[in-house]
Order: sequence, then structure tokens, then C-alpha cells
Amino acid sequence: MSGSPALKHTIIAKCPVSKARVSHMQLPHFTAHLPQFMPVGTKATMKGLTSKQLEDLDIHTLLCNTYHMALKPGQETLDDVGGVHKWMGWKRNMLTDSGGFQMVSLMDLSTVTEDGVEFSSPYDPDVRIMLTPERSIDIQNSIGSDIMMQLDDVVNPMTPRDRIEEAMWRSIRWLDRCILANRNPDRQNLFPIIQGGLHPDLRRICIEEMVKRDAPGYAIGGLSGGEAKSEFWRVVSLCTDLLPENKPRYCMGIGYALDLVVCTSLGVDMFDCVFPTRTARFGNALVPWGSMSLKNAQFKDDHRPIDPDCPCPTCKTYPRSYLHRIVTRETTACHLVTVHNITYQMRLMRGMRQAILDQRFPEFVHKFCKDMYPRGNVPKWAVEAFASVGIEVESVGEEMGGQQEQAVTRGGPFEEHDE
Amino acid sequence: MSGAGPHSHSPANPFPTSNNPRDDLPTDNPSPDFPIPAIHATPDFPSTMSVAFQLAPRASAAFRRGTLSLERTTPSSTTLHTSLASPGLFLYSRRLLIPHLTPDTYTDLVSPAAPVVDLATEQIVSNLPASYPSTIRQFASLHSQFSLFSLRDAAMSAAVAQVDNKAVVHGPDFVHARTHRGLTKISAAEWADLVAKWMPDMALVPAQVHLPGAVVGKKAAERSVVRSLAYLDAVRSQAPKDVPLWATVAGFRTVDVEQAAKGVAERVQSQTADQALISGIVVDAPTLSDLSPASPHLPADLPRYAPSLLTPDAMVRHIGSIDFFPSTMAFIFSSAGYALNLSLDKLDASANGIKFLMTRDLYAKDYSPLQAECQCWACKNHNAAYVYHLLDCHEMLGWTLLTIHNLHQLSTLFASIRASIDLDPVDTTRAKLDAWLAYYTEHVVPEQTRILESNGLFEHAAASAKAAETAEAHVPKIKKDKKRPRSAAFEQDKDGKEAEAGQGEQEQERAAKRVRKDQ
Repeated sequence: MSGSPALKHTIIAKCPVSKARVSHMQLPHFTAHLPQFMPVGTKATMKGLTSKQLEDLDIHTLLCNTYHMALKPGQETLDDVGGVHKWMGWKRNMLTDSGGFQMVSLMDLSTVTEDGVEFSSPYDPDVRIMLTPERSIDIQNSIGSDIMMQLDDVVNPMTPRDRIEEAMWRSIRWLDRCILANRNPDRQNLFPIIQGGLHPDLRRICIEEMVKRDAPGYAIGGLSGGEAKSEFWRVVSLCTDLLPENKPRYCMGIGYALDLVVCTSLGVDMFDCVFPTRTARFGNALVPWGSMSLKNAQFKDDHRPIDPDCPCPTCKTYPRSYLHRIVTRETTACHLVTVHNITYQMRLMRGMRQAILDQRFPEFVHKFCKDMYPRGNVPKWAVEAFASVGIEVESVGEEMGGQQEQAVTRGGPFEEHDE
Repeated sequence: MSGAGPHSHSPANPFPTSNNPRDDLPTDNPSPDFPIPAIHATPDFPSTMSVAFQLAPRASAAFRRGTLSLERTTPSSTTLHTSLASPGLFLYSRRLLIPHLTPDTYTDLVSPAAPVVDLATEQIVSNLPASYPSTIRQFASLHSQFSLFSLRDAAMSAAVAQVDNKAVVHGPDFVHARTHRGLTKISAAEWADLVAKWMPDMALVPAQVHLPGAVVGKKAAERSVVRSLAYLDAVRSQAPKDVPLWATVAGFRTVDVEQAAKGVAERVQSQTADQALISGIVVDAPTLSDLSPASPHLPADLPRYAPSLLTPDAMVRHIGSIDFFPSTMAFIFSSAGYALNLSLDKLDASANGIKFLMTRDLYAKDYSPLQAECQCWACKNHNAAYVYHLLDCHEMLGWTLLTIHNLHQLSTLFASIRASIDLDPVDTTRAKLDAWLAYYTEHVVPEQTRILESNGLFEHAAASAKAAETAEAHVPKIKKDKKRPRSAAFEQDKDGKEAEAGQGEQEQERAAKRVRKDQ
């Protein structure tokens, strides 16, 4: 059990084959069922959906971005209203990042020193904002999130080893400053972020140091920076091996279905990504067999729902042919596809939880791969990752013309170029 | 599954709107074969649809007060019956949906009652599927709503109907629709076919409606009335008999509207059951601020709907001659960032009839509801500062919350008016409405006029004449003035660009910027 008064983590079931597990994470606002996907509501709102719709979608934890909250509406307003829960009318859990991810996404605008990170305001380049570990926690305290993330020194995993090592040690020092700065340890949890790039020895040191701090849960960071998938999963698996079993583990910036299934099999409990909501805005619907671009002319006269097995309000009533005519033209269309995509993510996670509870997770993985890759071309890295935890997935190998190793290029949780 | 090698980025990318390459998922597998589910595959044509209108005993020459009873029986569901009290609202929609509201949001957070939705199809009519196995209600998931299939989209900028600064005219046997692909001619036969194909609960018969800014001579105006009546006759003889029709009374000048009203009344009087029945009257004359001269000529016992009466003050002025009013303005106000207070009783200097929520100084730290004492879901759950924040960040929820609020305000206004007609002496009601109109005219109309103008909409001929003079300078001016409300139209489609001029331009510009940024 965690020593945190604000988080109680109880493992309910374990997969007898892989590292997958089901647990309940009790937080001040809600008890989240893990493994869970946390949709991103960057600016204290998600794609036009009302707080009622978010609850109807069975979202347990919503993610909100500290950096954006600090700029708009600003800390003063958050203090006035008593945190972001009240600000947006959200009664369940909230997780916030540290604001540090902008170091990568806005690199040309920021400088890192031992003290912290200095940004330029995207709204006014002349205004410089200094983000220290203390400042990050101060803002997150004002936001009132159930889980706060430490400020870390974010470096791309492809950068040279000495810079990654420097960032790792700095992140450990910043963690200590964050812990000291937390005004509300009784109701706000602070998660460290494991650094160390693709180097197993650095990851070991980092985990050893951070576990000493007995945090309520841990995040695996420093990934999704263009590294090969085969390297990505090995680092994740190493981390879940080394992290204490009784603490929740959060892999940042993961949201594609296959990644969720692989990482769940490796023992990760929490995920977030802007992908399902962002792609909805372009009219792309997520389905068990991949995705469906509703703008595509092939849906002009296709009167079936997006996914006949999907229970969401969109699939229950709207034909593809109608959605085809409104996506990217009407805000309501964006709401409808977002509702579907979040339902897809939530069903996927619920399906995995149920399979683990029923002790049939490997069967779930087989079925998932069969649906997603009907031609049997499951990517090699995923086959290897599953095999590493005892789940044998057959693959005909990747098809001709494809890259041998795909890179993990999507950004982390707060990649907000177009949100 | 990010950009998995084997499947991504095929040379002929079938996803033109996917601006971000990472949105091309690896598994673009064809969807598994499954049949069209019953809800879409089984025709669910109304076996009966009845429209009845009853004037209440309290109705008078000063105030029409009545009840519209609608009943639909379909093979798949039980009979659905609804009663709409008048004066009341028909819901504005475009592209077969209520802008900014999903159906569940409308039902859960605005009103659970079955409303009549004016399906203004102008923007989608040329883009409907060639074939569909069931009704418009199922295609557009209208659930319990009653559909009034119509053409003219009253929220579209008048500028859209102008080519080379000249208003588009209708033809001898067709009306023009301004679709996203340009102008489309719709003949009576085509309209009757659409009605037969889509089997709405009710169908409006389009007429030659002239928009503000149009230059129409006396002869042309008279000709339009004759042509509209001929169009009505043609639709009546060709449309399916079981779809109740709403005949449109349109005219450029007052005298034309009177003439049209007489023509429609004659047809109603002599109509027999072997033709599609005229069950309601639509008075649609955007160039006129006063539609009441048509009233004495119209059959008294048919419900009347006036989609060109966009503003609450115009609606209140027509309580004596019209029964149903469009909710179009709730959409326009909300998209522009405004919250209304239409309370009939609490009028004093402190009552803020209209709030522009994007005003930083006023609302960035205003933690009170959008309007004090408003009982709408948005006001009960959120505050002005949050809505300011959403609008400031161009987040869609801002428009959604404002739509919930403004629709509530509009329907509450009509509920108060009905209650007053029912309970108060006529003079008291008159006095209340006069006081409300005086307040509204002084405190809201100036801002309201600016909103209408920035959306390319004008209430009446005087404004339209002024607009015609400045038409050229008008649109670019909106573009430059950053203080003007941004339109919430959600247009990214290339095809739509020229046709959507004046509405959604800024959104397009922003969308284009986002695309550039993505790349």
C-alpha cells in the first residue's frame, strides 16, 4: 500500500501469463479502475463536450495541462474559484502535467538551467515565464489536481547519453524540490517521472533513486521522441520490472490501441493521449479494425453506423453517410465523433480489465490482433513485446514496402500544436 | 500503432482532410462486412402524421394563443404525440442538426419535450445521398423531434446570395438554394421528389423569397408572387399526399405579401383530400420588418411560422399575427459569444439584456452565472468567467453552453408571454410587452443590429438599403475588426469557401493557419 493519504491503490487481479493487472486507484474525487485511458482536456474542456457527457462516457480521470492553465485563465482565477474541478464542473479525477513538456515542443523558445525552464509566452514573445519545480507545483496546487506530475528535464531519447544522464540527475533533484513544494500532500499526489532515455543502466539508477522517495505512483517518461518501437517497449518493460508492484504506473503520451494493449501486457496502468480527440476533429473514427476517415467518398452512400457493436450514442443512431456530410463542417460533428472515439478507448480499456479479471487476457490479445490485423501482419515489435511476457501472437510479418522499424514519433501528452 | 510502416502513406492518400500525417492510422483495413442495421434499413415511413391547430379561448386580435398538436405513428414505434403551445419556438437547424448541440445534449440539458425542428436544408440539399432506405428522421437521427423539411437557411448571410454584388433572383419555375457548391436550382418537381424520398413529418413548400439587398422592381415583385403560387400548386399536385405541407407566403413589399397571403388562403379554402393538405402557413419575408398586414388575409385556423423574424423584439411585435418563431437567433448570438437575458418581468437598468462574454474586463473574473436567476443548465453549472475562458481559447464548449442558455432564454420568454396572455387582463399583457420592447429597443437592439450586420443579416428593407450601399466594404471590414465576434461556423471545406463568404470566414482562416502550423 502506498503511504500517500490521497491515494489508495489496490490490485484486484493479475494476468497469470503476462504482467497485466487490474487495480483500483482511490483518489480524493473518484476511484479509478486501472488500467485506464485518460482523455486530454487541455484547457479545462474537451472538444465541446459538456461535463455531463464526459461523465456519461465513463471517464474516470481527465487530464489537464498546467502550462495552458497558467496562461489562461491564470493562477489567480483558479485560486478564486478553488481549483479546476469547480472551474469546469468536473467531479471526478484530474491529472495535471508539470508544464515541462513544452521544453520539447517549444524548444526554440526555452532554456533549461538548474533553477528551472524559461519559456516565452506563446501569446506574447516578449513575456518570459520562468518555470521552476516550485512554481510548477505551486500552479498545480492551485489547479487542485488529484495527481500532479513533477517538473522534469525533458530530453529527447535520441540525444547523446551525457545530456540524458544530466537530465536524469536533474530530474531527481527537481523531484525533491517538488516534494518539498507541495502544499497539499494530504489531497494532491505527486508522481515522479522516470528518466534515462534508452539506457537500461540509467533507468535503473533513476528508478532506484525515485523509489527511495516512496511516491504514490510513478510515470515512465523520456520516451516517444522518435525512438524505434522495439526500443520503446523494452524500456517500458524494464521500468515495470523495476518499479514497486503496489504502485500505479503511468506511461505518458500513449493512446494508439496497439500501444495500449502492449503496454497493459507489460504492466502499465495509466495512459493519456490527445490522439483520439484530435483525430476526431478531422473526422477520423477509431474502430476495432483501425480507423475510418469519414470524409472519404467511400462512405457517401454507406448507411451503416461507424461500428455496429459500439454502444455510443453516435453509433446507435447516425449512419456513416450522414456523418460523412457533416464532419469538419459542423462543431456538432466533432462532438459526435469525439464521443465515439472516447467510447472506443474506454471500451478497449474496459475490455482489457474484464479479460484480466476473467483470467483470459492472452485470449483478448489474440482477438484484438486478429481484428486489428485481419491479414495477420501484426508489427514485429508488438509480437516481440507480447512474447516477452508469454503471449504468443502469430504474425505473417510486416508487409512489403513498409519500414522495418517504425519510430515512435508522436509527442507526449501535451502536444498541442493544433488543439 | 503510430504510422505503422506497412500501411501508412500510400501514394494516393484517401484522407484529404487528415492534415496531420500521424492521423493516418496504420490499419486502414476495409470495414468488415455487416448489413445495414434495422434502424437504417427498414423504412419507417409515418403511416399517419396529423397536424392540428387550435386557437385558445383567450386568443384575441391582439394576441394569438393556440396549441399545435402533432401526432406521428410509425410502424416501428408507438404513436408519438406532442403539443406545442403558441406563441412558441420552432428549432433552427442546418445540415439536419442543431448547431453546437448533440441530440443527447438537447434532450438532457435543454428540453426533453419533442420539438419541431425546421430542417433548413439549403446547405446540404445538393449533397444528400442518392438513395437511402428510410426517412430523413432516421438519416439525421431526429429521435423524438418532429421534422419540418424546409429549404431556406435564415442564418446564411445575404451576401452569399449575391453574385457580382447583385442579388440572385429566382427563376420562372425554380427557386435558388445557396449550397456549398454554389447556387442550385430547385424546381417544384424536384422538391416534391425530395419530399417523397425523405418522407419528413411535415414539408414546407419553398417560395421566391427575396433577401435584403436585392433590387427587385414592382413587376418582378409581382411576378414572384405569381410564380410562388404556381410552385405551391405544382408541389401540392406532385408531393405525396400523406406529408402535411406548410405553404409559404413570401413577398418583397408589403403589398406582395398581402397578395401572396390571399392566394394561399384561396387554396386552403378550396383544398380537398385528394391532394397533399396545406396544414400550416409560413410567412417568410426578410425584407419586411412588419408581417402583420398579411394576417387578415390568412386562414385564421392554420398555424403560422415566420422564419424571417430573427430577433426577439421582432417576434414580440408579431404575437398578434404569428404563432411560431425560429430559434435561429440563439444560434447566431451564441456563435458570436453573446448571452441574452429575455426576462419579461425583471426589467431595470441593472438587468443586462445582452452580454458579450468575450469582454475581458467584464467577464474574465465574473464568477456569477451568465445571467442572474437563469435556470438553464449552463447557468446552474458554470459561470461567466468559464464561458469567457472557453471563448477566449476558441473552445467549442463555449458556443455549446451559450446555445443552451440562449435557447432557454427564448423559450422562457415565450412561456412568460403565454402565461400572461392566459392569466392577465389584455391591457396588462400589452403593458408588459410594451415595457419589455422599450427596454429591449434601448438596451439590446443597438448591439443586436451590429451582430446581425456582422453576420450579413438584416432585419428589414431600411437596413438592407444601407447595407447595399456598403456591401462592398462590408465583409472585409468584419474580417479586420478583431473586436467583432468570431463566427463559430465550422468550415474547413475547400468547396465551401466562396459560398460561405461572410460566415465562418474567420474560422476558415484560423483553420488554414492551423493546417499550415501542422505542416
